[in-house]
Amino acid sequence: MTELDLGRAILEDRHTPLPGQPGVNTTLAAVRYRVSLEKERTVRSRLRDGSPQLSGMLAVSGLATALGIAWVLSSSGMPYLLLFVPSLELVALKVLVKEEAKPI
Amino acid sequence: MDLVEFVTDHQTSLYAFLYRMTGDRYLAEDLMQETFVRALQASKRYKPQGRLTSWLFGIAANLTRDHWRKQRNRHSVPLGVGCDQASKDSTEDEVLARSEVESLRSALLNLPFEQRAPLVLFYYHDLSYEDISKCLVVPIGTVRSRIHHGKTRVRRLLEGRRSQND
Repeated sequence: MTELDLGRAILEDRHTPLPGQPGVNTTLAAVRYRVSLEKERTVRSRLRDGSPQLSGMLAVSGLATALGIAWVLSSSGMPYLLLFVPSLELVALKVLVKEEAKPI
Repeated sequence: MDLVEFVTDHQTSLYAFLYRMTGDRYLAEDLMQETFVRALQASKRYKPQGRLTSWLFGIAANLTRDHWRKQRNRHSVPLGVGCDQASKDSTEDEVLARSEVESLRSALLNLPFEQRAPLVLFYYHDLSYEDISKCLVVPIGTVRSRIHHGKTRVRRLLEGRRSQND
């Protein structure tokens, strides 16, 4: 087989359709699904292992809780503030999850 | 990065590359999806030094190599396997042409990954030696020699196939 024969065969092959090429929409749906799975996995592992961002937020909210308790105990502060301070932890979690779940 | 545009622009060439690298449409589709996912994850770190397509081929080639490493005993496909059979209502010329194409595709699948990837990128996707070198992270001289040896081997395989048929 000469170089020219091989060249011809390659050219022929290049112009022969390949079997099973998926449509763009199928690929897009599959890629989106895979990305969302990947993000979910990342968020879960961060929540499980504790990311620095989450640890920081929880530390700040913990400090705020302690200050709130001290303030209520030492003065005539309004007790309902105590209800707001722990909710910072929820906000922290929500922010993190929202950040990870940004659409692609 | 707009996902729709990204997928629309690169899906055809990426699928063609992966199909020629694997000979399996389902595996090629799976690896193509994974390539897009990896590319999206790495898009923030991407620095445009060459063609975007070359970068994608690089990711796809790595994924293919990892796949074959995991399944080493499946790396060699016999001639004639992995390609669609000619349909019954084709003309004789079409069947002969298709048979040539099938033999070539099978011969490519019989090459080791190191020769197959540069050969496919060079002859089917028109990448330069330099692009292939960046894409596969090997020196240009190595790319040149792998293409040369790969081509020699393909010719030998096709000659063997022809003499079997005669």
